[in-house]
Amino acid sequence: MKKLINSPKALLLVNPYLFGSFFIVALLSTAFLFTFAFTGAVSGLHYITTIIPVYNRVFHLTDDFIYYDETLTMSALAGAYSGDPLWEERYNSFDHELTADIHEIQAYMDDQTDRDLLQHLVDANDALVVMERQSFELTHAGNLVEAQAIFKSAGYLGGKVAYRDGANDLIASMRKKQDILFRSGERVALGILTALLILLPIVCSFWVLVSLLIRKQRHRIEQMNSRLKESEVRLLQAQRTARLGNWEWDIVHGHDYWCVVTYEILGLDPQKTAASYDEFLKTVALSDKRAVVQALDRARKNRQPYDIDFRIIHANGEELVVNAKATVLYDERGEAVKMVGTIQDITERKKLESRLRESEQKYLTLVQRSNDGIIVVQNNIIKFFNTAMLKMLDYRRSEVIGMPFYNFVSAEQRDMAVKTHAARMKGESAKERYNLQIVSKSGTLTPVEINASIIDFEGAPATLAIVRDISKFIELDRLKSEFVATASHQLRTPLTAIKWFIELILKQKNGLKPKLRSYLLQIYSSNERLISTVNDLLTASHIQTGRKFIITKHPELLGTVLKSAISDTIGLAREHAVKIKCIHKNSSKKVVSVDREKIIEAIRNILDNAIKYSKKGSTITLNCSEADGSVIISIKDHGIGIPENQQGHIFEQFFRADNVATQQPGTGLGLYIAKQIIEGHGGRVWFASKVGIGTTFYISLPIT
Amino acid sequence: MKKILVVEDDNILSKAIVVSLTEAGFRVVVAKDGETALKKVKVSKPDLVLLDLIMPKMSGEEFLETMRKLPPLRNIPVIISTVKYDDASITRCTALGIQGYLIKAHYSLSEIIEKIRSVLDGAAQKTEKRSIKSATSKNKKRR
Repeated sequence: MKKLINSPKALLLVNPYLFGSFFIVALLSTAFLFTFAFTGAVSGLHYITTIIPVYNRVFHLTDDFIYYDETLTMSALAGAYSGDPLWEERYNSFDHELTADIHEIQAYMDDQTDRDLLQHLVDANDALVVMERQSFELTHAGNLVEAQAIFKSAGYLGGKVAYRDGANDLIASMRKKQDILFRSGERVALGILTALLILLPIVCSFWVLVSLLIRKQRHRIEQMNSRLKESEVRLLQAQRTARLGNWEWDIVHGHDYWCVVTYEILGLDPQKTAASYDEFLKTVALSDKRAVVQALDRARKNRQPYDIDFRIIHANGEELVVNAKATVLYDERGEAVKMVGTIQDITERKKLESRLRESEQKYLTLVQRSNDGIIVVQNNIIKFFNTAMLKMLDYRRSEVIGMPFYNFVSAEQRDMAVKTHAARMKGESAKERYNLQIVSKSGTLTPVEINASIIDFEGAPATLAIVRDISKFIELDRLKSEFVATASHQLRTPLTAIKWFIELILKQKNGLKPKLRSYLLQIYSSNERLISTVNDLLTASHIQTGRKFIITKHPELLGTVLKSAISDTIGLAREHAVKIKCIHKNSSKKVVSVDREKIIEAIRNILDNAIKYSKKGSTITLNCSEADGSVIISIKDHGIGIPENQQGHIFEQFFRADNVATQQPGTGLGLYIAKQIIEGHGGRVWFASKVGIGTTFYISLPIT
Repeated sequence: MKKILVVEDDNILSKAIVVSLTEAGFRVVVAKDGETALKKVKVSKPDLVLLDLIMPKMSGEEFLETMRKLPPLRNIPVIISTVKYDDASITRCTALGIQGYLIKAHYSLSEIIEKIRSVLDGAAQKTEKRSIKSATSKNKKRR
């Protein structure tokens, strides 16, 4: 059965139409069955209670007819033979009983035939009674023989036969009737029984089916109920979590409904407070009451959406911010009849929002108030910029946003800037810090320093650039360089005077005391160092301003250049007891295109360092080789080496490594100048160094 | 005896040069600024001018430019002796025709005299840039 119920067919049965038809069939067949059974029962009862007793009585009465006939005859006969008047008395009483019986049976006669038969009987009896009364009269007269002769007469005997026949006919007719009645009663009973036997299983099976369907249906309803209950619990939990309550306000009847959560939000007890508009208004913060009432009015009358944030005072005294939304239902006349809505505690959200706003404001202020320009570029398009940036560009906001950034970069640097941005977007190594010139609306060029990094902007990579106006720094730098240049010029004159006058003194023929001579040489040497320093400062400042630093290339033999550089440093090498070995090879015969003086200065600066920091008695080796269209000059010393952590700085201005700063005089400009000169020739300078072992510098220069 | 016009605004330096040149057997004429130098070069017609660049009234470059325009003075050899060392002035002077560009502090008096002698020796030869170049390379000589 279970299988059937769970089968798709059984499910079909649960279809309400099918169920209904089954139910009706079951009901009708049951009704039919009951009617049938009832009719049977009634007729059965009738048979038992009426027909059987009637027929019993009738048979009894007809039997009596035979009995009374005998009794009457016997009584009359006895009277005639005995002459005893007692028999006449008995005869009268029997005759009286017979007459009563005849009357009784007449009442049962529903049929003319029967009545006729009875009449025959009564007539026969009456004839007999007349003769018997005659016999009694004869007896009274004492004429016994005559009285007895009556009984022997043919008339009497004939009457007797007629009476007997009448009685028998009546009985036979009665029997016949009874038979017919009994037989039809049997048939009816049999029919009813058969019908009951057939109908009962049908009715039962229909009812079983219907009850199964009902059970199934009930199960479903129970399931639905339990699911409903579960979902109600879940809804409540969800509402609690969301702090979202729902409510209804029947405007016409004033019947309000608040859900549990609505009560909780308002801080009211459902047991103590009935939901009502007034109770609700009581919870609204005083300052917001007006707004709430107005919003409700507007929603009701003007059909405006009801969606309002306001404050309420919770029962515990806490102020909460809530949001209420509602839909107004109208009747056919357009009158507001009902409002269905929600109320949500949004205090936390409001707090978060305000915190977020504050923090956003804070960062926005940081960005907007920054003196540096801040700009976000994505796929070459400007996506964001701050006030400082706009000020630098001197355009209107709308003229900048969404524009390609290179529109604002000086024409010469446009390619470089685009390539740098593209490389960064591809995740390739790109310069983070570099200088650019940006073009303002009026066409003014502003030198800026770009400090770029990659960020995620609106879900895609972008360049975030801090743009710093460095025109002031450049101006300052220029002023500094000019100051250095002027100062150096001013210094050179007195330094030259010292140099020349010492020379004049030293040339005195009269001779100087050896001690004095040695002192003068000390002064001369110090002066020379001072001149050298001034010279370096000046070159460095020229490099920085770029104005007085021009590289004019001419073809030169590499060997000659190297020789000049070495010869310039021979004095220093002697002083430090260091030998310089030059392995020319074939490369020295190469012709390189260089600014002779400047390249000699560069090589000399590197050689100077090699000499100064070499161990006494060691040899410095110069070598030339050729690779990829360049000559590579290597200068290898066995000196103190450059500490690893400082190797990245040695080409910076005024930088001096820790292990040399206290040992040897120097400005920290030599390598800076060398690098600038070499790079100015399109070459490269690099080194390999190990502390305590020595350093090898490499210079590569393009071959003409 | 060769005549040298020393154009030098600094008294002390001028004195050292004069002493040194005289001792070396030159006749020395001194001028303290460009204008004076222009007058003196016309009058005394020196064999060589040792010219400073930074001077009051008329700068060394202006003096050189004016002198090179004057036919009788056009071919007098000029050696620049200055504290001013930048590519622009070297280029300008070279273009006007000079026989040497010396940075004062980098050269001793004897080296200057040697240079003067070598220029006077080769005075008959035409101005040759090559020699200027080799001379100027010494400008960087140190210690």
